[in-house]
Amino acid sequence: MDIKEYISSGIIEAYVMGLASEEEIRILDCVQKNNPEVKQAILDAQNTLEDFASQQAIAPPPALKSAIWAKISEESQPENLVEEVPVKPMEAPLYPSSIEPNKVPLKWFAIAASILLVASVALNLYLNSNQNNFKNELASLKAAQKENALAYQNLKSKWDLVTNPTVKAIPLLGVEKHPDMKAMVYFEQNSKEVYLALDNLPLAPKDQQYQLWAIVDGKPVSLGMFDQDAEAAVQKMISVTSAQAFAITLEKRGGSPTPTMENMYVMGKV
Amino acid sequence: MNHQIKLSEQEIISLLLQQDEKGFNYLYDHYAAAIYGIITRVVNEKEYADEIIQDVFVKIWKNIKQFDPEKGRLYTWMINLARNTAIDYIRSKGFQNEQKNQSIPESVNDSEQYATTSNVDYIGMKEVLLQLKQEWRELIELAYYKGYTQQEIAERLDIPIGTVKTRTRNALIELKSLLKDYR
Repeated sequence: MDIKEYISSGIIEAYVMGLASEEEIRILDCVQKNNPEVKQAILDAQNTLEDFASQQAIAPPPALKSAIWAKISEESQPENLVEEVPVKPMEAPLYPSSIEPNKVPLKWFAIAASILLVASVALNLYLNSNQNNFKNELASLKAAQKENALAYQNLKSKWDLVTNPTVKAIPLLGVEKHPDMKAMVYFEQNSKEVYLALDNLPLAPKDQQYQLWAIVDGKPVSLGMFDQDAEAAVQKMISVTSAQAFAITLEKRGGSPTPTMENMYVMGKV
Repeated sequence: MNHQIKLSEQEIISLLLQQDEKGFNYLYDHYAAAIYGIITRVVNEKEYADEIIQDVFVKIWKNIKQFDPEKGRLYTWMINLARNTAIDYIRSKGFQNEQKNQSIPESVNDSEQYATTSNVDYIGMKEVLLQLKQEWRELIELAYYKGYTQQEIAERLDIPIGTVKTRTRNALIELKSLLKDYR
């Protein structure tokens, strides 16, 4: 069956509607991993159901919100407690307390000892590889955790800026040559601090950096470089007492004294 | 809550993973009505819907770690979680006994009345479902809101399983074009 036929067979719609059998789901999961066309068709169909859900929305009774939050707070409490595992007393001593000497010939001891040795080596190897697995797992968990914490930090600083009433958010939009690009300047009107977030700008080449400019009385004043090597998504720039507009140009690393106009990407009026 | 802020799904997820109350507030303010709409249509009774939506949000909160963005969007994940929780509920013994005792006829028996006989009033709502051809409407009702399998639908409507698939496809295509007008 070719892929177009497969897509139009109705299997995707059956899948997103929860109608597909387990076997059909397994096949579809496999196909979509290797076929972007199928994956897109699934996302499109799910999108229809998302729109459907939004259109069919019914506002729940207002009191439910706080009731649900109370329930969540209550139910997530016990999870934090670590269950104590009782230590079981050893049922039998590891080594028999009395070995009856001389009854077993030495040869059997030697054989038993070598078997034990082999078993112990094997166990060691097994435990060692297990430990390596754990180490790798731990490392990837740590990396994921770090990534998450970073995303959260970035989001939080953005959130704090957006919700702060004395902060003015000024969108910088793409100029004619770059219509889709976007950045945000957050201007704290009391302290005159300026923060910059690049929402949609291509990654700057290694030897270049984005430079932020304030247009003050018609003249560009440099507010510094956006450090693309830093992980922070919102960066503090040089403060400025007043500005009529902000703009971003791509300059050589370290910045330029005056903006290179043909490399201007986004700008926004205050 | 500031409604003007529009967060990306990734941002919502990171708030939820941090167990931040802001995450719950945002989620609730933006998605509770859609989720409540689905649940209400599955169970047909406000009283049950009020109970189930609580379970659904607790589940979202607890299971967000299991959400895999590779497998689709957060919104879709939440919709399916709500739908499955509600369908499990109407299939549970307790619910079915209660329905029997009240001698309410199984609402799916009468396809003509799907969208109109429920005990919930959808005041001010344009029922997009009512604009669908009946064979498509009943398919969406049975599959999506009642959780019937292809086999069950084929038997109930007395059509081959292959027809269930093509009908499902056509129903969704039609639904998509209808929804365009509501955007």
